[in-house]
Amino acid sequence: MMLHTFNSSDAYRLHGHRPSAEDLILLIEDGVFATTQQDLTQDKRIRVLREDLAQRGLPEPTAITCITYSDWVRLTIESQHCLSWTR
Amino acid sequence: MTQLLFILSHPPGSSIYAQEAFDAALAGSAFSNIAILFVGAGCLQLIEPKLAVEAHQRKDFQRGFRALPDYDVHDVYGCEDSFKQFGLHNQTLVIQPTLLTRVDISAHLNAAQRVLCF
Repeated sequence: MMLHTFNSSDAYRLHGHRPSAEDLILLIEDGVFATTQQDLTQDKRIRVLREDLAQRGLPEPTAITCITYSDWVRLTIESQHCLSWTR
Repeated sequence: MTQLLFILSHPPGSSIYAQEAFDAALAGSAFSNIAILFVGAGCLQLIEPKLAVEAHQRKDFQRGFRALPDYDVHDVYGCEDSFKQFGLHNQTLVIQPTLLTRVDISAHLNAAQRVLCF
């Protein structure tokens, strides 16, 4: 399992197709705006960093798993690779 | 076996990412077996620069790609989908990477010991 982080919605738009079925996708920083731009609720691989949502005044999406920094650390440890997609 | 896989996903010119990634890859090649993978807009780094250095005011690092074999870097890959997306099949390229499908890319990522994303 690999952890793919996206730090902007542009990065997600460009590289969102790269994670495979068993990977996890984490939206951080401005990447959390991807949740407002498209319906991501069907994709069970998606996680969103709660703190970055709050900083941008966004409510936590009900059907998407929101995680804390501690969860992020745990996912990092559990993942074979961490790939950071930036824009 | 690939110990370090460098993923290059940024276009040249707009940021320092592309140049720094290449420098990092060269440094990595000094002590481990590395591979380089161009994906997305990163593939645009491969277009042969057509202007003199004075015109774009930055280091002309892309010509350095030709020196990769001298650094014992022989595994240079590109994303086939991105090549199609950016129309690179008809461009003059600095070097021609081995093109990989999405499935091949996943296999390379799984097989690499460490992956570094730039």
